[in-house]
Amino acid sequence: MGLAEELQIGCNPGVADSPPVYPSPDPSDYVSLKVGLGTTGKIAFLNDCAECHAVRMVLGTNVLTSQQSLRYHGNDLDRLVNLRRGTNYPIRLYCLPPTNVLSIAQTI
Amino acid sequence: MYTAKYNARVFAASGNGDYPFLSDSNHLLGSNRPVVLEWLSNSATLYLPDMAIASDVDRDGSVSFTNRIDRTSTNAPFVFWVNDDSDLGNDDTAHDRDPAQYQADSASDNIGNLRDSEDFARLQFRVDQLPSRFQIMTNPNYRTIVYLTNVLERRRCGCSGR
Repeated sequence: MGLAEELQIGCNPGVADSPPVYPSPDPSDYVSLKVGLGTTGKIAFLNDCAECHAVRMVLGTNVLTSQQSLRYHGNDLDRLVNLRRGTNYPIRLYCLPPTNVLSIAQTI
Repeated sequence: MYTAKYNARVFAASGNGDYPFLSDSNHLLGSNRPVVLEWLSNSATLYLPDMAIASDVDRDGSVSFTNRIDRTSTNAPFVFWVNDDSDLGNDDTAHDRDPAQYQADSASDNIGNLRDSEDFARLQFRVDQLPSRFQIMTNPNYRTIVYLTNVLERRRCGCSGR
């Protein structure tokens, strides 16, 4: 479309572009990555009882939780997550249940 | 005695290798990591650099990466002129020659004249910067590949032939 046509239909090419809207309708704005999670063994004793555990990853707005170590011994849970290009994501891990996680300095 | 361990890894969906752009100096991620407070209290950072190509698709005089129309993508490729005509001249006397008898402008690495320059469009490339430790220029996992194809049907403008 030429400038004359733009003027005819009332477009103003001098107007600033509008910012993009997210979540984007364009799938190419995202990248798919695969997250693998899994657990083995048991966490620290509490009241003379060892407990199975799971691990939870928080990656941006994605919250992923593995299966309990007793039921899925050592098997990873693979899941695809879609992340937006041009973004840096913090990753944090949590143990479930959280109360029995001890420090390296502590001995049982 | 700790027996609890975890696996936590991030892979590129298209391959089997670990995703390369992770800042994880405390080794939070990996296989067979012990479940202890010192490790779980750390965090890692995943970098997802943006690589984009844009052109002035909406004809507003500027190339904008924030404008979805200007950005090219798999679903919205930028269609450009293959420049297979033969232009001559730099002013009002400029004209198009018969490309069947003269060499196509695309055969030359130079812009031959002002009329030929009208067949060009501005493209902008943007690659987000990553932390220096990733050594972008020497990391074989990080490459920018630009594909230019002419798979679309060649169409000629009947009015001006530019």
